[in-house]
Amino acid sequence: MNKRNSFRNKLIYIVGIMVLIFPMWWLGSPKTPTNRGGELARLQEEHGLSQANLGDIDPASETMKLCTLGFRGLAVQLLWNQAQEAKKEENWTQLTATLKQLSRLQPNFITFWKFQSWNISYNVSVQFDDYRDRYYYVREGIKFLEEGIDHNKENAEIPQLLWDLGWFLGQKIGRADEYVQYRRLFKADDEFHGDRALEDRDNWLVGKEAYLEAIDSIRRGKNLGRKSEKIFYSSPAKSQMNYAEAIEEEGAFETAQSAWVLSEEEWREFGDRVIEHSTGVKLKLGNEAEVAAELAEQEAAMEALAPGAKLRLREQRLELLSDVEREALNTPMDERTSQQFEIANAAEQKVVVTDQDWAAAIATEKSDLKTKAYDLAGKLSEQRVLLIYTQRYKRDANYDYWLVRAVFEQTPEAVSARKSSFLGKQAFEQGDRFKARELYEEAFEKWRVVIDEFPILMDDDGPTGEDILVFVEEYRRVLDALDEPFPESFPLWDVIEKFDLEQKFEAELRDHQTNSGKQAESSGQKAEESGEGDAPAEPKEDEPGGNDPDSDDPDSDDANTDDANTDDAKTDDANTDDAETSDDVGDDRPATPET
Amino acid sequence: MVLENPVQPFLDWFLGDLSNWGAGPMFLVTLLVLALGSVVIGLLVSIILYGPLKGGERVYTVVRNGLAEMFYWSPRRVSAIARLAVQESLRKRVLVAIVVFVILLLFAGWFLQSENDPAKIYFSFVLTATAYMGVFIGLLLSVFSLPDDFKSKTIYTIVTKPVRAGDIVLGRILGFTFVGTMLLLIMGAISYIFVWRSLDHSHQLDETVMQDIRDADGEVVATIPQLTTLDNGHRHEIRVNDDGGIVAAFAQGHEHEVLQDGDKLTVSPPLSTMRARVPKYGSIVFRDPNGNPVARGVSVGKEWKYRSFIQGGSQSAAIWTFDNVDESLLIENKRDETEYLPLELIVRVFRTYKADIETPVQGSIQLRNPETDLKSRIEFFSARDDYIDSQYFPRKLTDSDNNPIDLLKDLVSKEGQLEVVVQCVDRAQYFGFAMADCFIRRPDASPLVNFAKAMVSIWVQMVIVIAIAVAASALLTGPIALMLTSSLVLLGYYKEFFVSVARGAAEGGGPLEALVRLVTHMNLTSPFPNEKDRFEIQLLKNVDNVIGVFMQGVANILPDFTQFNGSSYVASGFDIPWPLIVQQLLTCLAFVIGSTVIGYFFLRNREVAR
Repeated sequence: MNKRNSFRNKLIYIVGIMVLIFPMWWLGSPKTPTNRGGELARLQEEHGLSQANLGDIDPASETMKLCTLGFRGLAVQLLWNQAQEAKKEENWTQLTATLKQLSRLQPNFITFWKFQSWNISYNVSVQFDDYRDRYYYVREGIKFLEEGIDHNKENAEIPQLLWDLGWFLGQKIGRADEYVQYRRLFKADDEFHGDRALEDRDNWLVGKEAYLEAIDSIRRGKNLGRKSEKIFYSSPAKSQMNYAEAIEEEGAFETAQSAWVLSEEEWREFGDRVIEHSTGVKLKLGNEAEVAAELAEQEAAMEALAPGAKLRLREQRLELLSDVEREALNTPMDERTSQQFEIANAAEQKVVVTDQDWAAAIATEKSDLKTKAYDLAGKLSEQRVLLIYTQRYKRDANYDYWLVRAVFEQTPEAVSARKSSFLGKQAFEQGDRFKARELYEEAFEKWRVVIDEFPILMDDDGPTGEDILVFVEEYRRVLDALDEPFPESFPLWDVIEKFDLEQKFEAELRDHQTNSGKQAESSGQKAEESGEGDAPAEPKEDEPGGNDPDSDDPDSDDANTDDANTDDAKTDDANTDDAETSDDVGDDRPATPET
Repeated sequence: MVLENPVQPFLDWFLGDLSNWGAGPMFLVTLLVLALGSVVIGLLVSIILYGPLKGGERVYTVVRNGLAEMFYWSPRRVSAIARLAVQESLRKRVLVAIVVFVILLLFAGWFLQSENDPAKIYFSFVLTATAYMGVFIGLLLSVFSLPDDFKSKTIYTIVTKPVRAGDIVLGRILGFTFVGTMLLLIMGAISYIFVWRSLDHSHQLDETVMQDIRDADGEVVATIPQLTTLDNGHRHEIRVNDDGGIVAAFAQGHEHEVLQDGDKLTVSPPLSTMRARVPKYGSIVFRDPNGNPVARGVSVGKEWKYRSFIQGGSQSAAIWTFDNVDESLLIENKRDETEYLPLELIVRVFRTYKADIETPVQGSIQLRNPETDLKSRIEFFSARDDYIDSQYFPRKLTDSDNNPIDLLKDLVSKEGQLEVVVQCVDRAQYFGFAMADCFIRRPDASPLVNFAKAMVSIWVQMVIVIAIAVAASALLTGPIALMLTSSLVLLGYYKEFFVSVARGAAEGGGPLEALVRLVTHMNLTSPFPNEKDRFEIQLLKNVDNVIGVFMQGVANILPDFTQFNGSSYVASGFDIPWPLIVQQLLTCLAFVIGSTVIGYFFLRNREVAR
């Protein structure tokens, strides 16, 4: 290579460097107090992505990211693999250490915090036999989540992390099989609580704080993501109710009573909150009556335009049906064959009069009212949808039940019933069987009063009936210990009939039904003899739930239980439901039926 | 600790048997195959270049000279070259590595926070960091040395002196090894002090909650605090031992003694944060629920197959057989002057139903004579999951019929064997065991010596890297030699994966197939559409098979760096067995010999060194 070539090459390099420097400067120059910086700095600022905008700056994290010399992605990949391997090989110390390193390499990756905190709290904790070890890892997961929150205070997705924190604190501690032990350890956990007062160290209350903080972050313009508003906004009030329930179980009845007062207040507040349905419709759960009244008013206004038009249209359509279809429709539901069911359903679709059909019928009869009729029909349809969605959300959230629950739990009868049940149990444990029987019987009399006053408690959707059944079982143990039969005068037979799904009281119930049959027979005979009226009516079964004609509603994604599942894709052990099931035993263990 | 590959006795490892050759025969065979292969390839190349006669003669000369020179190396010349290598390293400011290491440790606290078992984390970190630093330094020192000499023509000055090519290669390996050893010594010392300082802490007694200490009659004899203060992220419960001594109970892998000075109680520095248990392992067999012998217990669905499980409330059992059980294994308790057999047991508990959460699952343990079937009285224990629990058996004990027996005389067979039978008592609950979960504990070794052994493992890795790097740099330019050695080191750390790719056992196929899947975003397990009928796919797979054969050949001479990892022993508080250290040293020697021979021929191949 001669000198000229060498010089030419150098020139080319310099020009190349100059050309490359310009876009680098344009893209990457940092922001200073006097200069708004390059394009990337501007975009960071615009979308709130700079580190200072997202949360606490951790020098260790920044150093570590710098040390990877641009190979952060590779390092993260290796560490994720290492974490998975450590989990597989039950090397928990290594796992937690690796997660700490990962958290420094990707501190603003929300999914990382959600996934791995869940991993520790739910999957790692259950690998231990000792409940103290389990609690340690449950708490480690919670602390890990808190660390993630500190790093992402201003992250747009922070409400999700805060809500998860509330969930872990509440559900993982308060609904585990070991909840008694976990709650006890949680209260005594000075390291976790620091200066928090002893009376505030309840997992449900601390969880509620996190839920409220999550709601507050929404007010600051953060993003809820795909989480259902119904679940999100109901969580603080539900947490308050869970708190009241938990301390009631622990025997703190006076505190529980005031906790229920607050629960009612918060549940009503939740009912008054405008929440968005997944279809975008805005509704209030506590507003059903008003929506229904407005709908009735609008229907009346429509009817007033052409009285009887809707009915006439339906009758016209009925006439068009075949005989088979008409027969199927006219057959009572419980007498229809499966074929008739199908035919009747199809026929019903043919004769149903929609609001638009109704408006068209009015327009045919009175053409001058056409515009008004269509206008009203549009409003009517909207109102109808609003009512259906409101009812559905209410049912999903079990709104009415929880409202009644919060109300009745404050009543002196309910408090007294619970207290007597609790003391009865205590007396039995202390060996005083007679006192235990007395207290239980006293409790059941009070429960009778409560149920009569609040019949919704017998609703299938609420757990109160099952709660009472637990007391009944305890009562039977007391009777067994006393070698006494189950009394016929027991006041809560209806609770047993309805909630004893496992048929633990099969024998008692059979005896009771035989006895009441005899009584009914004898009273029937007496009635006949005395020539009075008809035979006594069969006891009426409550019709639980009821059929919902709109069960294929698109909102089925969050048609879940009241404390429904988190909708995030969780890990293998994602057994999150709030239902009172064992949450851990089956995490990744084969279930062996207990015989 | 987890011991997936138990350490073999030295002779078994070195000699092996007919079906499974040991390291010694394998080394010789590999050396022979390599030598013959090199001669054949050299001969072919020479014949092509110079014709059959001259080519053959050249190869003969090279081999003859090589063999002759191999036995004429001079320690004086080698040490002179080594001295030069040391000087050269110092000129290259190799001591900067120490500064980097110290900085690393200064900031290590930022990244190392563990409340659970800090000793494990600290030891793992320092040993891993030292290993990486050692390998890195060894690589950088050695890989550029010879190429720089060629570049700067200094090699001409050396070859004019009466030194042979073998002396140059071996001298450099030894010189760089000396420098690396010095660095490792310094780093090791700093690391040990770092861990010791990091684990050292003290507690005060927290007097906010007190507890009463009662005597046998229930009378309160003292009132002492219930807990220590919270320091270093943990606190201890204060307990009174059976002997009346007060301790701050085991937490975070250590305990403290509570010292009484009149009425004043003080907490001692931590005890046994660093330890080196010396286990004597036995072999394990299982019994199924009907009492039949099986190689493994049942699987409870865990992905990791290290442990297998025995069913509670049945005849299912885990049975360890210990050889050479004699008096030397017993320890004497000075308090009651009784001799005990110190057994330690790790139990993993698996519950199929929760039962009483606060009550541990119950297990039983018995000693048995494998010859006479005589059993000691059954001892019940509460299983502490994932914890090393001590089960000490006194020498004078009773059999299952309550007759007094002597542990050594009655329960140990004539061949010196003793069986330990462990069962799970609670029905439908399970215990999980692996071979290393039950051992007879010998007196602890020195943690410092154990740490030094781990440093030897690191040293071995460094020396192997230096040897390979010097050999490679004898033929290649610096950057290429660096790439080659780094690749070998990297593959050495992932040898298992490399071998599985070579054998076609890895998901995603061989190298070419994996590349196609990567580029086409195809997952690892799905077959290619109509792959049997597609020529290009079949071609791809066949080429992969050929590459696989080559890769298997490479795998045979690839150092398995994961086998040189002593940190898991130290971090778990177990002594690194001496046979393992000897095996590692011999492996290292084999690599040094092999690399020196290869390096010699490489250097001889260069014009300047003939």
